[in-house]
Amino acid sequence: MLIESALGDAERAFLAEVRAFLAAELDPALVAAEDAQRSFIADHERGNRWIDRLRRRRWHVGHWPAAHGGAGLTPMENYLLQYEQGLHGAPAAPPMGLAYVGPTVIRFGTEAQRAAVLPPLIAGEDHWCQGFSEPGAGSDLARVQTFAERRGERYVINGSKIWTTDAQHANKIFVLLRTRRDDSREALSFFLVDMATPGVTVRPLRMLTGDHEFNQVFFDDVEVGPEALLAGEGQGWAVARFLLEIERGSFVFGGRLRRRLARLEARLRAAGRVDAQVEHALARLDRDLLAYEMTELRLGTLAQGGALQNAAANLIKIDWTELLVRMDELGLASADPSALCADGAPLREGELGMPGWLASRFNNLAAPIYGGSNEVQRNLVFRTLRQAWGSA
Amino acid sequence: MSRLHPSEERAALEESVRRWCEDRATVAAEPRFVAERWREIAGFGWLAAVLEESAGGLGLSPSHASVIAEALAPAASQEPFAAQLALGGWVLARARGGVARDALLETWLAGESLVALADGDPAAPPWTSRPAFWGRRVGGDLLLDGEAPLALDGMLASHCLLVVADEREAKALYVLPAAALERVAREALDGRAHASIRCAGLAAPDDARLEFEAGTDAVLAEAAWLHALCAAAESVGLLRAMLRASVVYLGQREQFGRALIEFQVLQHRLVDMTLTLTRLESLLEVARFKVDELGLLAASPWIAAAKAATGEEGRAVARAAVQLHGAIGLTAELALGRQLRRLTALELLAGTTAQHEAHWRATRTA
Repeated sequence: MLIESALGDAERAFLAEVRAFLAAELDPALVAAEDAQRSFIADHERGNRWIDRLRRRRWHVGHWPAAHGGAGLTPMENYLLQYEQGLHGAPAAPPMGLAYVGPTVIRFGTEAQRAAVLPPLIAGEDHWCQGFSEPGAGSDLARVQTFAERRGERYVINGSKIWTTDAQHANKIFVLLRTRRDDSREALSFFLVDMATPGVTVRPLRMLTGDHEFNQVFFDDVEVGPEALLAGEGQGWAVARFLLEIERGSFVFGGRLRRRLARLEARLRAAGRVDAQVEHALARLDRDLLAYEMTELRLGTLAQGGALQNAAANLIKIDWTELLVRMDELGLASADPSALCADGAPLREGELGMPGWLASRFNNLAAPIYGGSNEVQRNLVFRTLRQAWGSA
Repeated sequence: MSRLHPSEERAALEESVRRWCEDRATVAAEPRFVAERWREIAGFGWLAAVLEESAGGLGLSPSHASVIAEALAPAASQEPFAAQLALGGWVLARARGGVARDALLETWLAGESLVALADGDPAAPPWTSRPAFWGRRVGGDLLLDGEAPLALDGMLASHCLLVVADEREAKALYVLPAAALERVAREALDGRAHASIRCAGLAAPDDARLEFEAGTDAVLAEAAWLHALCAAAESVGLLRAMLRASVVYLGQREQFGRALIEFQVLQHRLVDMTLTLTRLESLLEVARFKVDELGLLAASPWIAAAKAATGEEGRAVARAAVQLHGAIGLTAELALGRQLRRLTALELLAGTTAQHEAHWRATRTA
């Protein structure tokens, strides 16, 4: 639940504005489609339709500084905007462009790069995907091997990226590449690449549910100019870390999870599945989610984590992904054989028939893996813990 | 401006309590209540913080009591702050003024006297009606009979607050000097000096009866929820200290030729403890916001969530802290062992984990 007593007067006024906007703009068909979604990853088409509506208020770039075209919302306003969207079932916005690339280019880009990247992003003309993981570099991201060889002023890229969400929809990709033949992090550089460049090919990866969310992207002698390099050779790891911090920590999941739990509970009650054990499990999830919502608010938004604040993004990422999986598992534990088959909702090509919530149960197992596996997150939390208290 | 940023009062309170705890770190192992230290706590105004100004208090929201309880936890192993504040001073301050009440409240605020709430059935949820004594009119006198099996801090108290049901089953509170009652010491696992309290045919003077504008039941229920909030906060304070001690200990203790903290499996255990602690801190903050917004009674679902969680999940954090310390963690040599005893007591006090869990389950969607 949103702890409204934590809000000041101006924030309450903003909250009312957000709610009025959602009441006017969020039509039930959009919400129903979002509710039926088979994973927690934003749906490209529906997400962008919703972004078109947010664009009128510049709320699709709410937290960007006004000087770069954003709405300049405070962290708390951005929290409220995102929380309420999630709670009311607004489609999740694909994050790779507006949430990741935009702030990263604002932070590291030259004026020319900002001018090239930001306007089409804000206008909804460009769609981005993220080229980080490789077949041989998952948790250990710094071991990426895809190589950008310098030839005069230009670079030639060879290698491949994998688990690339939305590559089938994107016209741009940001990639972490190696620009020197050694294993150090100083050999990494960050590039912005047009997917239409000759030599870029996308191969779909079908998941256990038959869903197509991920891809492998191949680079065969892909030639790019110096304008594709962000922040200089050797700066790739710093840029990637900045971006990963956003991926792990700058989102508000509380509203979406609260809606998900309410819908799960309603479904189980309607089906007469709530015995004492399920009642207990629901109360526990409710309590843990309440704690998560407050954690997200005070650590994520207001930096109130004390000595452990530097680990806030990591703690939040572990917490929401594990909550998500637990919700799906309670649904599964309370189901019957009717869940074996499709429930009549339309399927897209290749998708296996099963209720959306059950497909979610498979697809959401990716959440504790993506964005840095939860085990890597634990390593990072520990580092902060040791710095804060280890020498006390 | 968001109200999430701690108020100046709260920040100042936390800071002053923390300083006191640091100064007292060397004497925190004292296994008994020390009157001098209690008067110090009173002298800082921590007992007065959340009482109404008309009763000699500072008028802060009751949530601030939990801020003090949390900060005091690591060092104040024998100072009965939570119970004295919630079940003693809070109740006295809510009562209508009178000669006996005013005098007692004054010495209580000065840390010179303690009071013990003498109520009934310790196995029932403390926010329910639990008289321990029965009053009967004989001539002009009210005679009291009964027994309170577990009056917290009963052996330290100069006065007891007796929860009495009269012949019409209406409840009332009578404040009587402890010397007039039969007290049997019941020392607790955390070293606290509780008592069972009895009387038979004891005449209670009319001016010993406390009157409450809000009603006796409501004030006793408020006191119970304030006690629960403070107990949850004290638990969080203890758990943070136990986690911290575990990080330090693993850094110092060498086995297999290196510091234990170099082992990833132990690092991840520390992180899981941190995740749980963060969750408990957040639930405590939710409860505080709800108390500020709605008052103690209406905030009971969220106080219950925090208390249930500190019991259930705190148990796991404490067990992990002992596990990481090894056998030394099961002795009283380190603060950890004493903290584990107090944490265990807190799980059973102010409503058990199971009672709070049931209250949360029943009221969460209300």
